[in-house]
Amino acid sequence: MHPAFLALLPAVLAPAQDPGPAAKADAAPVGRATVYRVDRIETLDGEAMESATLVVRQGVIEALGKAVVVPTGAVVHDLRGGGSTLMPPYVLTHANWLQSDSRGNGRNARFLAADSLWLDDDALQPLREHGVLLVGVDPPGSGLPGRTSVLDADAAAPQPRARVRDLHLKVELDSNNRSKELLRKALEDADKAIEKEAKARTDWEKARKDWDEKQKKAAADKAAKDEKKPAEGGEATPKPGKDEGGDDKSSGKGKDAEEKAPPETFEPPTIEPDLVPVVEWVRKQRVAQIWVDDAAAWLHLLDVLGERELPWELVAMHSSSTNLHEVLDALEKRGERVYLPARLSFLPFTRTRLNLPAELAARGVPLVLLPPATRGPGGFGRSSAETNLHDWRAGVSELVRGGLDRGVALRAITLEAAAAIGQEEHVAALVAGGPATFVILDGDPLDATAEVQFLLREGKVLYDRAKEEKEERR
Amino acid sequence: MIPILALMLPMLFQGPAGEDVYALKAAKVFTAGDAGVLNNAIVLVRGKRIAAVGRADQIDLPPGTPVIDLGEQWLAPGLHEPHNHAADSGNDINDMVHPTNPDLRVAIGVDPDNPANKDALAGGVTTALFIPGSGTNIGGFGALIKMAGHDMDDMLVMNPGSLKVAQSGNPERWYPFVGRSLMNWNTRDTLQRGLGWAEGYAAGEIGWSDFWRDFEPLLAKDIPVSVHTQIYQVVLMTLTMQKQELGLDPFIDHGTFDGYKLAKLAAELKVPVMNGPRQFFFDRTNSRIQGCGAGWAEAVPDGLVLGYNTDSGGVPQEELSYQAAMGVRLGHDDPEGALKGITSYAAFALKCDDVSGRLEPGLEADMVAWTGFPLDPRSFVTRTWIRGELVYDAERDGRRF
Amino acid sequence: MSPVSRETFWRLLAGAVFLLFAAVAGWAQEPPPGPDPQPEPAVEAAEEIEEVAEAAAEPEVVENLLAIVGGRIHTVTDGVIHQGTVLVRAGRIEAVGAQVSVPAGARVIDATGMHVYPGLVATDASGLLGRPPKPADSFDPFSLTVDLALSGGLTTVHNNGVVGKLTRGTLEGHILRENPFVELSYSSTSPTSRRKLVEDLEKAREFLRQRHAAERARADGDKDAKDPSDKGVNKDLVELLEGRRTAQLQGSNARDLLAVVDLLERFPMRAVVGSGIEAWTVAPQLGRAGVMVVVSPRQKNWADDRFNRPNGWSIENARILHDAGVRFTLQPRSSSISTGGIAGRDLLTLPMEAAFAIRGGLPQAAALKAITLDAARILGVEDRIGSIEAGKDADLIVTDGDLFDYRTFVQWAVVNGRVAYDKQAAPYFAHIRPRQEPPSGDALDALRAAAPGGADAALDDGKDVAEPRDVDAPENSSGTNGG
Repeated sequence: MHPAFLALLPAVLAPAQDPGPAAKADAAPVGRATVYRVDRIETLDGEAMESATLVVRQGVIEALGKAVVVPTGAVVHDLRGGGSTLMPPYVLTHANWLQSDSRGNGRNARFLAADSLWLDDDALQPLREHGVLLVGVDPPGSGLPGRTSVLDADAAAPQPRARVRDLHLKVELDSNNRSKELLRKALEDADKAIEKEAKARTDWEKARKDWDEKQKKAAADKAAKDEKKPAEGGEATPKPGKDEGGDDKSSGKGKDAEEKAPPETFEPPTIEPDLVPVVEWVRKQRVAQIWVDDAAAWLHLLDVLGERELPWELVAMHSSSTNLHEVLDALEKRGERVYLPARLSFLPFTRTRLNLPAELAARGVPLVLLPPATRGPGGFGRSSAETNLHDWRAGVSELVRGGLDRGVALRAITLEAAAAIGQEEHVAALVAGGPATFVILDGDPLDATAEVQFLLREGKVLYDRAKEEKEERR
Repeated sequence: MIPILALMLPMLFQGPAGEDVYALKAAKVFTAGDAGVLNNAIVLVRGKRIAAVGRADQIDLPPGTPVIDLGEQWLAPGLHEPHNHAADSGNDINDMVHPTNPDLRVAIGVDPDNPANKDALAGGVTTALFIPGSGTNIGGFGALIKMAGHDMDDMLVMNPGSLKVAQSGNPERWYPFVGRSLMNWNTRDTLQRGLGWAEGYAAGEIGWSDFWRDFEPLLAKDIPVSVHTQIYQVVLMTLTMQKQELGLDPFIDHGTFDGYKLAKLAAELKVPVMNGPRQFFFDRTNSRIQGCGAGWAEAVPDGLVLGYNTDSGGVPQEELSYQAAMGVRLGHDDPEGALKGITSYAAFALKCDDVSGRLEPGLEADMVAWTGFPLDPRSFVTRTWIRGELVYDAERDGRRF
Repeated sequence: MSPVSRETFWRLLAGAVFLLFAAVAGWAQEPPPGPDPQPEPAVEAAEEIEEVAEAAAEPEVVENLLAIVGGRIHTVTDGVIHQGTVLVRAGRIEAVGAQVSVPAGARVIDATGMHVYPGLVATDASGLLGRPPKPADSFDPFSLTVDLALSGGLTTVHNNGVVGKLTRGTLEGHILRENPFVELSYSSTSPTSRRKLVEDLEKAREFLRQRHAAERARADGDKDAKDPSDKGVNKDLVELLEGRRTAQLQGSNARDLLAVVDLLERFPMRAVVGSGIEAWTVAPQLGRAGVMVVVSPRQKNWADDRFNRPNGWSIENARILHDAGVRFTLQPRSSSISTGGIAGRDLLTLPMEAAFAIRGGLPQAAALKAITLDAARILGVEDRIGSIEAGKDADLIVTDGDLFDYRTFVQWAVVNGRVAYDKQAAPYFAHIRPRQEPPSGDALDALRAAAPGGADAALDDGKDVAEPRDVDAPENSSGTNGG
C-alpha cells in the first residue's frame, strides 16, 4: 500500500473505531488489540471476505475486512497461506456421548439432561479442539425422557456446568415402544390437569367473591348497627365476633365456628412432576423437540397431535436408508426448523442417493445438522467424541458435495444451531462491534481434515492449538 | 363308459409281439418337438412307445384301433423334474458323511409307494431326477426315475442318473470353519481323482474301483452333473470348474438369486439352466422384483436351454407346471417355451431326450391329458400314462390334484 | 362408450384441434424417427394455440373425484358390466354402470381392455398391519410389504384383531373395524373346555333374555324393571350372541368340524372355522349350520386309509363347499408377504390361490366372491367393502387381464378413493410387460382413430404441452409419459 495512504488510513478509520465519548470515558487503559489474519472470513452475513483481517479488542470485534489496518502494539496471529478460515464457532445441539442413565421408554419429563451428565476431566476438550463452543445434551430414552440442557465447552467453568439447565421438552416416538400411546396419554392428562386447574380457579374465584360479599355485607350490617348505637347512647355494643361473616341465614348453624377465608392468592392443585413440563408445553410456555426416524413415525406424530397447535421442532434421526422424502412437502408447508443427521442416505431398497438436507434447504426450511451417528430412537449408543465430531464434519462436507448450499450448511452448524438452543446472541454472524466469538481453522470448514487453530469467546482464547502442542511436547 | 371300453379294447387289438395299440385324440397336442403344437391331432401308441403323431386327418390308424377321444383337452408329454428330493421315504436324502461323498447312490432310497409320487402323477410329472441333498458338496449320484412302477427296477430310467454337486450355499452350514475356498478345492480335487480313475480305467491302465465306479459314465458324458448352485459368484464357479476346467456336462439346477446375470456365459458354454425353486430375486439396489426365468431367458436367443424345477419336498412335486407358470408370470414371456422347459428341454439336460420328453415317434409313451393349457393353474390333469400304461386317471382313481 | 355431454364434445373438439397443431409444432421442433418429410415449423402458431388452449382448459383436477373408465367391471353382487365406468367421490363409490357420465375435473383412469374388481380381502395377514397391543399405533403406511400387498390386489386385511385397509402413505381411513372375532375353543378332544364354553354361553344367553325382558317391561310402562346383573357374564359371548362379532374356531378335521356344527345348533351365531382342511367331508352339515370356512386349497394332509370315512385333503374342497352352500374364503398357506423369491405361495399372489380352488372345480365367480365379499363377511365388514356397488367404499383394483390368469398383474389399486398403487410408477413390477404407453408416433392417425367422445389415451410426445383436461380423453395416471 502506498505510504501516504497508510498514513491517512487511521484518520479515515479512526471515527469508525471510535467507541463513542461515553465509552471512551469508561475505558480507562485501552486494552491491547489482538489481530488475526486469515485467508478467508466467513461472516455468515453476506459474502465471505478473502484474505482478511480481524481485530479484537476487549472482547469485541473492533474491525474486520480486507483493508483493516493493524493497530500498533497489537498481537498478530498471521495464519494466511494455508487456506485458513475464520468463522462463528460450531454449535452442536445434540451430543450423545455426554450423558447416561437411559430410563427406557416412559413418562420421565421431570428429568434434566444436565443431571445425568457423564463428564470426566477431559470430556469437553474434544469439543474445544473441534471448535465447538456450545453443546446441547438431551436425556436418553424414548417416550418423554426429560428435558434438554446446554453446556459450555469452556474449561474454566466449574463442572458439571450447564449454561442452560432446562431448555426443551424431549419427545421421542418409537413404534417399537408404544411411545405414541404414551404421548397421547400425556397430552390427555395435561388437558385434564389444565381443566382441573381452571375449575379450581373458578371455584376459588367464586369462593373469594362469596367471601368478599359476605365481608361487605357483614361490614354493612355492622356499620348499620354502629349507626344505631350512638343514637341510644352507645350502650349496646354489638357482640364481637358473633355476627362476623355470618348473614341472617347462616347464623342458625354453628355460630361459634369461624368460617375460614379462602386463600388470598390462588393455589393451583399440584400436578405430578412428570406432567408439569407437558402442561407447560400444552400451554405453549415451552417448546418440544420431537424425534422421529421415518415417515410412518411422522404420520403417527401428526395423528396424536391432532388439531392442537403446539410449539415443536422436528428431529429426524434417520439411518442410512430412509423414506423421509415422503414428508418433504409437509415439512415445507410447516416451515419450522428441522434437525437432520449430516449424511447422505439411500431411498429404501435402492441405490438412489437422497440428500434430505439439500431438499429441505431448497424448500426454505431452516436446518440444523447433527452428527450422523447420534443414536436413533430408544437406543443409547455411546460413541467417542472424536468419532462423532469427525463424522459430523465429514457428513456436512458430503452433503455440500452432494448439492447442499454451502452457506446453508455452514449456518446449520453454527448460527442456526445457536438459535435453536436460544443462544443466537452468543453465537452470531461476525460484524464489527459484535462479540469476538469465533473459530479459526487451518483450512476450509467443509474439509474434514482441517484442524482448529483457535477458539475464542468474547476475545478469550478457549483453545490455541499451537500452545497446546507446545505444552504437549514439553 | 366309452373310455372304459376303449381301454379294454387294446386287449383285442394287439400289434406284433403282443403289444397294446391305441390312439389318443385331442384338440391340442403339444409335441414339445419340431412339430410344435398340433390342433385336432392323434398320438398313436404301440406298446411302450409312441408310434405316430400327427393331425387327425393325416394319420392312418390301423383299422379297429381303439381311440380315446380327449375332446377339447390338451395332450402333452409327461413333465420332467430335474430336482427331486421327494421320491424317497423321507430320511435318505442327505447322508452327510464327508464333505464329498462320491461313492453314495440314492437309487436305493426310492420308495415306490410314496404318496408324493402319486401326487406327482396327478400333476403331470412322469420323470424325475431323484438326487441327494445339498448338505455336502458331493452328495453322491442321483437316479433318473419314472414316477410310477411296480417296483424299483420298473421305475429306474438311468442309474446313476447324475452326479449331484452342491457348489456352495448349504454345505458350509454343516462343516465348521469351512468356506468356499476349501469347498471348491475339495470338490475339484474329488472330481479330478474320480475322473482320473475313469480315464485310467477306460485306457486299461487301472483296475476296477467300486468306489469310483460311477465316474465311468460321468467321464463318458452319459450322465450330467446336476449342480445346486446359485448367486453370481457360485454359478460362475460352476461354469468355470465343471464345464471349462473339468469338461463335464453340468446343468445349473437352481440358478436363483442373481445367477441370471451369467445367462450369456451359460449360453456360450452350452450349460442348460433348470431354474427354481425361487422364481424371483428382489433386487435391493433398485427395488425390482426380477424374475429369475426372465433373466435367464435373455440368453435363449443365444441358445440357452432353460427349464424349471421344484426342488420338491419344499415345493410339492405336482406343482412343477406352476413353477413354470410363475416363471412366465414374472417375465419369461414365452409360455410354450416354458412348457418345453419342463418337457423336452429338461429331458435334454437330463440326457434322456432319446427316451422321453416329447410326443414323437420312437420315444416312450409318457403322456398327460390336461383340461387346458398345462401351465395355467386352473387346468388339471385328467389322465397320465407312463410307457403307454394309464398310471393315473382322475375319474378312476379320484382327483389327487 | 359413455355418452358425451354437449359441452364435453366441444371441449374435445377444441382439444383435438389444439393437439393437432401442437403435434405438428412438436414435429417441427424435434425430428421424428421416421422418414416422413418435416412439416414447416409452426412454432408461433403453436404458441398462440397454447394460449387459446389454456384459456379453454378445464379447471384443476378435483381432489376427491375419480373415474375408472372403459373396463370390464366385476361387481360381485350384480354381475359383470362389459365396458363401464366406476365413479368415485370422497372415498365412496358414487355410481357404477355402462352409462355413467364423468363430471368435469375427475381424475380418469383409462381401463380400456382391462378388468375392474373389488379390492381383495385377506382374513389373516401377518406383517402388514401394526403390532399388538395397539396395532393402530404402529401401522407403517410406507412399508415395502404394504406396497407389495397392494401390487397383489389386496386392499383390506385382518391381523391381531384389527381389520385394516392398506392406505398407502396415510393413516386416514386405515382402521375399518376392530375386534371382529371372539376366539372360541370347542375341540372334539377336550370335553372340559366344551362344557365350560357351553356353560358360559348359557349364562350369556340367560343374561340377554333377562335384559330383553326388562327392556320390554320398561317399554310397557314398568319403570322399576331393572337390567340383570352382568356379574360373571362373559361380555364377548354376549356380543357374539347379539350377532355383533364372529366366533372364530379351529376345525382341521371332520370331528372338530362336526363339534362346531353341534355348538352352532345350540347357540346360533356368526362363526368362522379356520384351516378347514376336511371341511369337504362334512359340507352338507356345514351348509345347514351356516358356518363360514377358511379354506387353503393346497394345504395337504394325506388321507389315512385306516379311516372308514373320507378324510385328508382334497383339491376339490372349495368346490364341494360351494355346492353345499357353505360360505368360505380362500387363503394361502403362508399368510405373509415374502421377498425371499418363492413365488406364488403367499399373499403376494392371492388370486393364484383361488386359481387352485378353480382347478378343483370352483366356478370363477364363486372364487372371486370368496376373496372379496365373503371374506368381508367373515370380518363383519360386508356393508363397507367386498363388491362394487354405489355407496360402498371405493376399494378397487384394475388388472390387465382376468384376475385368475397367471400372467395378470394389478395395474392400479385404489383404496378409499385414492390411488394407492400404480404398477408403472412403482419400481417392483414396472419392467414386467410394461403398460403400453399411448401412441407417440403418428398423432394424426391417432386422432382419426379417435371417435368423437371416445376414451382415447392422451397424446403426448413427451413435451410439456398444455393439454385441455377433457374428461373423455383420459390421462395416463402415472404422470408424464415421456419420462
